[in-house]
Amino acid sequence: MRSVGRRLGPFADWGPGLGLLLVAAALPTLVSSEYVLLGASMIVTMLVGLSFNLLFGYAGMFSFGQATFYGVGAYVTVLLINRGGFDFFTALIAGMVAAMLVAGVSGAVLVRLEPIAFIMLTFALADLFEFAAGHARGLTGGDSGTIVSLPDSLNIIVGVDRVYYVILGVAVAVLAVAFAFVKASTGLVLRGIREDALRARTLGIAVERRRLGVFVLAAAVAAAGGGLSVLSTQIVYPSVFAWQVSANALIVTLIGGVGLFSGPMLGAVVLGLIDFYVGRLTTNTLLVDGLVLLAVVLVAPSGVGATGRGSLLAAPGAFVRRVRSMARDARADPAG
Amino acid sequence: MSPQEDTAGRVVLELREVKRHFGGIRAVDGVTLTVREGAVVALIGPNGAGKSTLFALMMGELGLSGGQILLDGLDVRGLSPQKRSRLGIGRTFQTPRLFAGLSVTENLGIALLAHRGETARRRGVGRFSSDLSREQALERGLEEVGLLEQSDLPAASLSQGQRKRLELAMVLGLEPRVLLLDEPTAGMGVNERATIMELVMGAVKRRGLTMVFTEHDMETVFAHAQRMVVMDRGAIVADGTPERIRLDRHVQEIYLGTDTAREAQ
Repeated sequence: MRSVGRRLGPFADWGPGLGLLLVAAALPTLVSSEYVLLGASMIVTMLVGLSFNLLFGYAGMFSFGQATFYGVGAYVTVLLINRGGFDFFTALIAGMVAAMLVAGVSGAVLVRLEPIAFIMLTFALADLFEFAAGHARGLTGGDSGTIVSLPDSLNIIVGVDRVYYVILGVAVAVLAVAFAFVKASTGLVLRGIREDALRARTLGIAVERRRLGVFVLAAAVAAAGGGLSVLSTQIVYPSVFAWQVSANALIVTLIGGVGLFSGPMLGAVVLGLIDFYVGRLTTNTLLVDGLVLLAVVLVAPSGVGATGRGSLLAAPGAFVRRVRSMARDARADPAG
Repeated sequence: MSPQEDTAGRVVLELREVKRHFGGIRAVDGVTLTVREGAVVALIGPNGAGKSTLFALMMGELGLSGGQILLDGLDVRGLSPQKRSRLGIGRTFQTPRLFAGLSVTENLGIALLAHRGETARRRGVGRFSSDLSREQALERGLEEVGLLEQSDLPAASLSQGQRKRLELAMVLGLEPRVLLLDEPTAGMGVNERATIMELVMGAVKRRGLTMVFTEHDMETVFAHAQRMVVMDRGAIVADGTPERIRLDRHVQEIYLGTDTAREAQ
């Protein structure tokens, strides 16, 4: 049992995520279809967050371009369904493979770059795709978007619950693969590379190859999110490549906890709920998202899913300590 | 300055006219050095003599400006640090480089994984390693350097001496043939120095390793080195047995200082 516990790592890392998945599994029986739709969009956001977390949280690679792979997943899925007559799952897998190819080719250069260049070029890559998707009207319909032609069995308006379970099912499979990846030796080696790449190199680790591996995996995860988004939105615009998609991946990971497996799941739920309720009051959800992110960074910098130092649980204690120390300083120096 | 070498044993490491220039600064300026199997060589010299640069050149972290480095007769000039590591060079740093945010066990675990990396990697993504012998290897490795009790602590929380010991365990975990230790006793007290050198020399003898180490503490050098190579301003100025180096006036002037020299005698 001890050895199993060690393999899975601390409960706090995966427990909250497992809890959320259990709630997600029961969601259609608990709430109205409006909230089931919200759940579906949270799952899609979570996958892009997971993709970012695999790179940044585990390997220390700050990508600001996961929208590239999300978008490739979405477009390849739609185009193969509409033009190739493929069924959804084949198209989804093809979308993931296509994203992996794009990641493999671009990553061969990207993973060798310094962090700042990596951020800028991952960002630029997504921009390039957004431009291309907007201009290749014959293929993508340009800014008017492409409506996907799905059978009734996958039409979310016809059967919300069924489509929701398809989305959840695929997401769980992706989560399982990602979890096995980070808990296996590969995950440990990546965390080592994140901590000190030169040390890793001098231990004989092929740093670039490992980075490329996780870059390709993360692309597949984001592409799964993109492909699944086709089910919930039924239309794909060039904005699937927009920086907001990459930013959302970053925000949900920061809110939930960087490097925590449950992080993006918690973050996606928090962000989804906020956007849902705030969206009823104002269109400026971005402003509120920003304030929430600010609050998390200030109050619980390790994310809401974290335990120990920098967590939400530790926040009241940290606050009390800070007030006390301020009071002490004030007493020690009354003039100040 | 007559190069004094053990004539027994085959040549493991050979440096030929090795140069590294940074702009106009000649950090390493034509170093030629032959190290035979099983030798324990101390590389000494004042700060800025080029010792650490030479280590970085041997490991491949820095490129050469000129010259050749051979490992077992193989020219390793074009090889990356990871390739050289796989060829059997294990290297520690003056300030230990560890995976600071990870636990002591995880640090050593990565080294062991790196050592068996190729096979583990081929066995595929997502495989839960259930290798019992790996657990044993971890335990043995930590026990060897006396860090078993600290196994679950983050590396960042270790003392300087413990960090040095962990780094040593990681490098030994690679089962190298050539050890390059950059100041193994830096920042340690007298007792701790003796302990870690005992550890190092024990491992060297048991495993029949070849070792090159830099060191500022002359007592440590004289106690353990079979051969001393003295560097100054990027070049080798003396090379020989400790007895000879101790008596070398030139060395006394540029490096040892009269006090240390007298102490050593």
